[in-house]
Amino acid sequence: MLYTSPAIERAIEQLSRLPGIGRKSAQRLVFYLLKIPEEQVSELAQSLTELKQKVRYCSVCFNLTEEDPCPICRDPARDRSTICVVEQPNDVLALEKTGQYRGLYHVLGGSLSPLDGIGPENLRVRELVQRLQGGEVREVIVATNPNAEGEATAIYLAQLIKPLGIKLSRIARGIPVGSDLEYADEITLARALEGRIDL
Amino acid sequence: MAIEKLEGVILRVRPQGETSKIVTAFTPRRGLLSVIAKGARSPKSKFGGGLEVTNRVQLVYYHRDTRDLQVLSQVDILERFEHVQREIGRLALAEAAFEILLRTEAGQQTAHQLYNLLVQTLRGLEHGERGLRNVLRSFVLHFLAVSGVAPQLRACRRCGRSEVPARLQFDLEHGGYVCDQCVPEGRTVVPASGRTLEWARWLAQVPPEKAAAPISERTAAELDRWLQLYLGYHFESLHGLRSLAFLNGLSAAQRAGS
Repeated sequence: MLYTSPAIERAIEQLSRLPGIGRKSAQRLVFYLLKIPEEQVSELAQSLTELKQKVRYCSVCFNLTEEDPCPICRDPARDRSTICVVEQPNDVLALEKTGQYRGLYHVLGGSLSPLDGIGPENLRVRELVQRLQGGEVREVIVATNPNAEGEATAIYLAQLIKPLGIKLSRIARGIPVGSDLEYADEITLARALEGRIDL
Repeated sequence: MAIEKLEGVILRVRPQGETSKIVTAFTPRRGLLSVIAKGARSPKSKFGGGLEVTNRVQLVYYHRDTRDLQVLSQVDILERFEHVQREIGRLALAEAAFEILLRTEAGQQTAHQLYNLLVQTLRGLEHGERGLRNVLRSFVLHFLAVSGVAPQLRACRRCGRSEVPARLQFDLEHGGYVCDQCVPEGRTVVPASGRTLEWARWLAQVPPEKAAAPISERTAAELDRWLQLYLGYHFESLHGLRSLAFLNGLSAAQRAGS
């Protein structure tokens, strides 16, 4: 043991388990926590406990929520004929920030990845197809990440969804707003040309 | 710190922190190479779509011998494999080849040969239409040859007859096959038909780029069983390849759906 207090040692060990935090950073955090008022530390501990106790997956869209179904699925003002399929709950947050989308979501929980052994049975693909068979949905927007795994997942979903006679679309990919065309690589430019729209 | 320029195929990309990615490429000069692409997760990243798996690229990075992870400065695309990137079946076959290289940590000595083999495999998967799994089988047989453990497929290891027998046994330990009547006691063998041997001979000869060809289900199953056991016998790290389990799951799902 490096420290005279087992509590310090235990806290360092626990914090260094978090992603991106090594032992050195964990030590700094522990000494910071020792310096701040006890109420602040209690609040932090309580919020972490509540996080695990209260937050769960929505049984409809699989977004993170405290109430099931989640507020988005329960909202009567939402367009129930459109479902946007995303990989992670963070992606729902990013799309909600735009204020442009008023439909529902479906969180897959990742993308197909042969190298990591993540197949369709590891994602919420079956649940998506079950939702679509309800007959209420008229359009599915596939918003998986624009990388090889995300593209392959989108094509795989298209093969499952097209026979159901539902309109299927993919979010546009291409030049980011505010960037210069001359610095864009050929893949990005090719995708931008593919996804061009009428003016 | 020297600036190095290397050609390579991108095998794996992992997010690192909020903004960066760790990219693992296979290069003809250094074998496996890991670089950190700082800022690559940002939409305005200078790396753009260059860091997609399967891309054949030119990497410019700052090399320091004392560092395991080099810092990527620039990436230029030399060849894209669009069908492979977009179709999960082709991607899974490519990633099975990647997984073999990643798990065996293929080194510098054979890197040049393995790199050419990898590029041919990607071209075979990109342009082939039917029987794409033969591209991977051909890759595996050539990989075994480059690694010095090629199975001897010219003749029976015991009686030396080169005519194709009706039934035979692949001998894992001695890396070849024996006729059905020559099977010695106490050997680890895999039964197969003469047709499977003919396919194995052809796949070991033809470059992976030209190996896509339809094959019967029975022959495919015999070849796959033998190759998986043979790989696992000679490389402990190749037991339970995830990409192969994924591929088998995908094939089963497609069969169930059709």
